[in-house]
Amino acid sequence: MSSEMPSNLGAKSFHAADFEFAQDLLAGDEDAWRRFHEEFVPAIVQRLRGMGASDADVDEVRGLVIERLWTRQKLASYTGSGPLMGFVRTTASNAWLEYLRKHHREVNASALEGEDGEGQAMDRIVGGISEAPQESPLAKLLRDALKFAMARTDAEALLILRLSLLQDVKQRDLCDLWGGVHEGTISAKKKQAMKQIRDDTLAFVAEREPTLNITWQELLEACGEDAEAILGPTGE
Amino acid sequence: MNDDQDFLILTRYLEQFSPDVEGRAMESPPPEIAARLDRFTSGGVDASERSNLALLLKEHPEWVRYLACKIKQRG
Repeated sequence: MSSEMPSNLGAKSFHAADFEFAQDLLAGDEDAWRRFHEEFVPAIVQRLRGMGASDADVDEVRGLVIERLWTRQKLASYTGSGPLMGFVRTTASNAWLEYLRKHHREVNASALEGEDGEGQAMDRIVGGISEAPQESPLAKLLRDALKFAMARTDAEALLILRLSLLQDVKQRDLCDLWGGVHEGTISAKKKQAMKQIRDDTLAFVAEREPTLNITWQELLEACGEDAEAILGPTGE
Repeated sequence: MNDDQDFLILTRYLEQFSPDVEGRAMESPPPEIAARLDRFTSGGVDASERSNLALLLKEHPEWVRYLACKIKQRG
């Protein structure tokens, strides 16, 4: 993940209190740990239950999330670009989807054993794992959702967004190119396109993972500066 | 957050998978397409051609940067 940020993102909010809290946790501060167990662990559990996890699933995935935050030092990657609670909750969502995928593979392994030898079945599973991209299920889901939304966006509005925001073409130049329209017309096209991208992305996610309940804000945080920490693979 | 910031965040995320996806990569279009884009920047196209070009650039975001350069040169 590049540390370079667009200049017009420089003014975004920094969650200083959350960042300091994360540093206290990393330093092993007892009060911080107590607060984590009182406020954050229940939030992890609530998120997992909301996605349909059983009690046994919750125990296992909660452990994965906490192990990931500390042992793998993902918490150290938290930059304060969004609320820590959102960071933790989305990390839990990622862990849950990866847990489901792993479980699905185990089911497939059992099914294969009935068709040929155990050794061949394991070869298939190992082969499947080695061919899998280093991308977590949530990362793939968000990428697919965004590509779906972009594909549905009005072509002219998308071109305006790309020229304006990615290429720094001035608004008045866009007005000229679009037949001398008022700047408000260009702004309205951009706003409408972003609303459509937001609605289509969330609709795609909701259809693929109905229990995920990810908000637009959480999705942005997952795709933002902390993406690698939140969306990186959880398992081995 | 605002819409501009949202789009930049999403674009940067997609760019991790392919820099061409969001039109930041520079690739010159074929001469025929370049000529159409040049006419666009000079204001010499109607709404129908503008719509066709937008659809073309949606399929080929790698040409958006060429168009942007031409617009800036014009200014």
